[in-house]
Amino acid sequence: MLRFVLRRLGALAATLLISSFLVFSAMYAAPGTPESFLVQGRTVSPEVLASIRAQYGLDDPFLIRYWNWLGGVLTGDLGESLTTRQDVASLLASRIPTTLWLTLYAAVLIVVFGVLAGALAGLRGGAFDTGVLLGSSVGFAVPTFFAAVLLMSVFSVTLGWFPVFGAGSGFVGRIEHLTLPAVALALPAAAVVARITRTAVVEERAAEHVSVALARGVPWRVVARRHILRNAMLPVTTIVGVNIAALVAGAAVVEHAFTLDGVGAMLINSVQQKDFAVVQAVALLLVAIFGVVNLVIDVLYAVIDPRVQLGGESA
Amino acid sequence: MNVLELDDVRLDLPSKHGDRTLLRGVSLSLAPGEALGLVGESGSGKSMTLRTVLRTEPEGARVTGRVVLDGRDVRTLGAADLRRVRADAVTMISQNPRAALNPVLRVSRFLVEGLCDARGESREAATRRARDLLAQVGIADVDRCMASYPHQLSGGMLQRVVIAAAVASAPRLLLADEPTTALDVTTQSEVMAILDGQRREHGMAMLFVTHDLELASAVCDRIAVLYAGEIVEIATPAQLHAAPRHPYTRLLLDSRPNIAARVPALPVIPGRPIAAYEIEGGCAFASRCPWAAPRCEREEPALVHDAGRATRCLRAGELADELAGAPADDAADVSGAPAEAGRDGETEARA
Repeated sequence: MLRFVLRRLGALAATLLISSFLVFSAMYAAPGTPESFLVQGRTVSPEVLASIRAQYGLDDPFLIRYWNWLGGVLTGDLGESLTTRQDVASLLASRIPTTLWLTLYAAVLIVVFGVLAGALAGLRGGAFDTGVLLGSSVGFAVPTFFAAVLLMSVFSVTLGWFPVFGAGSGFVGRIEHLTLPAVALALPAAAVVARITRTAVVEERAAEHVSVALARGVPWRVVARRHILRNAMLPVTTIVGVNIAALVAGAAVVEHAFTLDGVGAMLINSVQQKDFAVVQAVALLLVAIFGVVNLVIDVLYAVIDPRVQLGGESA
Repeated sequence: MNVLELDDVRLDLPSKHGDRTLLRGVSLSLAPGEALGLVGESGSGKSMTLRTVLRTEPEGARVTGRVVLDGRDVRTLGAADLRRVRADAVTMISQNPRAALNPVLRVSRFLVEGLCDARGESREAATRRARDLLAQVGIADVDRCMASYPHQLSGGMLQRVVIAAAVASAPRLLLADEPTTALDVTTQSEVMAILDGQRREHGMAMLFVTHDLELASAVCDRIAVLYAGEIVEIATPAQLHAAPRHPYTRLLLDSRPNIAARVPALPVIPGRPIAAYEIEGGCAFASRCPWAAPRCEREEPALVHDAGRATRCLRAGELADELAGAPADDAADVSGAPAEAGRDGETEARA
């Protein structure tokens, strides 16, 4: 198990290295240069321009610039924002809590409602099943941005149950402020998870070992828990993991819609302003989170499915 | 009192093209400790017959008739009583042991579950008995087997585990659905010997489904031959081999390959097996029967009991001598007469 985790951590490091290069070069491939943003359309003398370029090291060869940036990243120095002149690392640190709370909240909603609804639909069938199928189709079809606006107009503006914007402070404040954003963020993923769970449960119900267990006189609730739900959790774990990892990226839309000061909103702003250092840092962070979540899922998968062999050792 | 009695059991399965009849009135009885073989081609209804006993037939199937187990009709039991019958009185061994066990749980869980969760025994007692039974079915390293996951064991080992689980509750009746078909030939006889040994030791009756007439002859007290959802003949293995009374049984016996003599082509029964729902009146086997007379197409034969055996054939009386004699080469063989001398004697010895 330890060897497997270490190997996967190595692979994650390699992934991060490669994506750091892609992230770094992508910004330079995009139209517009940082210095043209810095001078903000003013006509400046070539001397000033040259001094700006020198200050940001823009005259160095591409690989040297990448190397310098990478060295900075590895020592915790993510550079300086071009717009605010603030340290990117501390800028990021101030934004992370909101995004973290938002995605955690949404993840809980996905697991609780997606998995629960899917499992009950698969086990019970009937009207509840039809309802879940219908609801999941709607949930998946509604665009996140539209869902956000709809939720706001109904629950904040009309009913006044929830605040319209802001991230809130303290546990209760955060829950209150982040409920609607989290629902909007979780909706499509919960719909997918519910559907996959339902299919997995229905499939497991038809498995021969399930009918064998019932034919041996094992009570239904034991069979449902031990043989149907447990086995159905194998595909569900994977899909839940992928969806939770993707939440961090999806948070951008929701944060923008609810004017939350999270990492996602920061990404959108800095892309618009061509704030190189910030975009690079956020993009790298997203890749890292995706990788770590997937690593956790893989380890979890090996724990619940003994047939998965971790790195050649028998589990 | 008989352990099991099936009385005119019919099974219809609704489908898009109307109802499909899979069993057309199966009646049989099983004395305590007796082994009855159910033999027939695929689709003849052998497995379906078994499944009506545990009520594990496909969803939506309509079953009529009575399935009386130890004096109680299983078909009318409520959910709680049915579960108790399944836990205590009857166990089933299915064809593929790999599919019978949950792939993500250890063997010990499978064995203990049948005693603990199904019968309410204590975990310690259940574990102890599971270990004893594994040793009894010839598993050398009990500890390793208990701790293994199904994918870590061979098919033969797994079927032993399933047998151990089946006899664990000391049921009155064992239902075996082709228990050795999925195994290697070399493990087949071993597993069969263990199954038969356990059955005799615990004094259980057995309903044994197989398409292998030889195997059924070796382990069963009586054999019922099924065709298109009904029993066409019931007799002891010796009677069946010496003097089959139904043309289908005769042809089944003739189409077994002979290991002693190489024949130009294996004898086959002409035509294809028909399913119960395809029958339109008359004898189900008439369309393939070389001895069929015009009235066989019209009249439906009844199962006639006579001196401990039963036959469903209108011409059973007239054909008795002919069917009991040499293989019906002209009918069963498509490419001329193979040399089959001494065949009956040899079968007798094996049975």
